[in-house]
Amino acid sequence: MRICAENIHFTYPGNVKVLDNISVTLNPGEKVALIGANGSGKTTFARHLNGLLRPQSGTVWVGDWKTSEHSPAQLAQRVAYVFQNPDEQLFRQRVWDEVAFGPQNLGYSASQVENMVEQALSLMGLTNEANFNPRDLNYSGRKRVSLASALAMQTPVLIFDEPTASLDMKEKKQFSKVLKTLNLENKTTLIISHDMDFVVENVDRIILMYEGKMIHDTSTKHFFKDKELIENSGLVIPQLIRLSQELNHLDLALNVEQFIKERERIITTIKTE
Amino acid sequence: MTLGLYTAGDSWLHRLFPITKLIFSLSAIAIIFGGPNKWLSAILPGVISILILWSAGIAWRALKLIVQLLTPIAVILFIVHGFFGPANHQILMRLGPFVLGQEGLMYASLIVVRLVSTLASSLLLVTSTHPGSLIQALEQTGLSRKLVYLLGSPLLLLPQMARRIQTIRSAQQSRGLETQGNLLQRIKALFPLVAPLVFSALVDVEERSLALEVRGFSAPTPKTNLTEIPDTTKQQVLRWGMIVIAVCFLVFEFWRKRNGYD
Ligand SMILES: Nc1ncnc2c1ncn2[C@@H]1O[C@H](COP(=O)(O)OP(=O)(O)OP(=O)(O)O)[C@@H](O)[C@H]1O
Ligand SMILES: [Mg+2]
Repeated sequence: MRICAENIHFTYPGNVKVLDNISVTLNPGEKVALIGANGSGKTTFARHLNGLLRPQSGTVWVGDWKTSEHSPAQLAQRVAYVFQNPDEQLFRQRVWDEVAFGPQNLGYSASQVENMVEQALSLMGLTNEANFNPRDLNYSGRKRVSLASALAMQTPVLIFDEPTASLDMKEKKQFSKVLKTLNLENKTTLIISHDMDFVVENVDRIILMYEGKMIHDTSTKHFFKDKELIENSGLVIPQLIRLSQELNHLDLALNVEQFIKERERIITTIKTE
Repeated sequence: MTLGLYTAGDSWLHRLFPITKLIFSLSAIAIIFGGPNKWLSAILPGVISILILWSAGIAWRALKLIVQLLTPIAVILFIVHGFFGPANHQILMRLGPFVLGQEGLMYASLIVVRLVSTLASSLLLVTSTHPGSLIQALEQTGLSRKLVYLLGSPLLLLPQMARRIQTIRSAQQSRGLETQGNLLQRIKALFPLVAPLVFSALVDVEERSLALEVRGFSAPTPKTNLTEIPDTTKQQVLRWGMIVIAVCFLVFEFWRKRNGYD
């Protein structure tokens, strides 16, 4: 499903202008990252996409719906949104029931709900914890439950606010697999993150926010070309990208495997010459 | 960030030592409910409070709050006591089967005036004092740290709680929870909102007490405050003055009643 923001402006009470004339389109099957310094407006923008906030001027389209004409609960049929802190949403006694909450709210039948829950639990590696009390899991376990709760809703659009913040390496790998699965199902995903290494390896497009504006929006491959712009906005270029930028005869590598392959290619060309 | 009712500012009232304002509010409330001459005691502290708020430039906000909070209560009081007051004797007006009695109306007016005055004198403290400063000032007066923390933390946590409720509501709406709508829907929505609030508050308390302990909060040595909130001798005198006046009024009224002057 396509999401389309047209000239949106938003100011919180107290006159802090947080979104300043933003227009952007997120396409089906796209994995997009939204990055930027603290307070640049990422969360505020994302909350416009499922109607939690409404623009003071401009329009947000979710498919053929205007967010201003639907409640967040209705928009939940189309957009799932995972909040940063799992403890601010978990409330049931069993992981299974917690994950079922979304699909039940959306009005699916009992057998459908069962299917959706099982699928989400297995995606997040929680099948064995299905009968646990979410509160007995550690923080990253609770985080995975909240991610599973969103996946279970099987919406065409998914938004993740800082999904990897508390995950360890293995859990991150698993989540990155989940993103690939979603991608194959042609879903639209938006990831808000400060985790540049994760972003670089997992998305096709990066949008950079700075003081309420989207100042840079391009494919991951091209994103780091304008070093000055990136450093001025307070971001640090990931080590690997810098390395392959420095060795400027390399094609930009986004992960170690690409880097090694690229290096081998160069070495063989040099040898044959 | 808003901290409850506190309005940031730099007026003379804001700069006053918080305890001075606290004593003012408490004395005022004592006089409102226990002073001689019911009406004067009820009205005067309120008028003085509003004048003080006005000179500090925050009277409008306080008045707005008073009207918002008290209008519904006032309407109910006037109806209940005006039409059904047990002491009603003098009839002012007839409305079909109902009669409006003067005694009930006067009684309701007295209660409303008292409430307005009480609220005004409390708002004087609350709107001009950062909760953190009040807590620190209480500590400076030598009250036990633990007691101050116990009394003060709900005050400080309230705004944080309010923000958290908002976040939880948003998170659950994003999962398709309908929080608007009819009564049944609202009641059904309560549990998914309240349970995470309690849970996350518990997680918080655990972290907070751990954080306090590792930083030596309960170590038996005297603690140093980095910044002292300034107090002055004038204010000390003023505080004792207010306490003496309030006590005198109460004692006088007690004596008057006992000797059958009412
Ligand atoms: N409920 C609110 N009321 C008032 N101001 C707010 C509110 N929420 C956020 N802000 C302000 O809006 C600005 C943008 O906040 P936002 O949360 O969108 O930033 P962000 O890019 O998500 O930051 P972070 O990386 O820290 O999550 C900040 O200056 C913040 O203080
Ligand atoms: Mg944010």
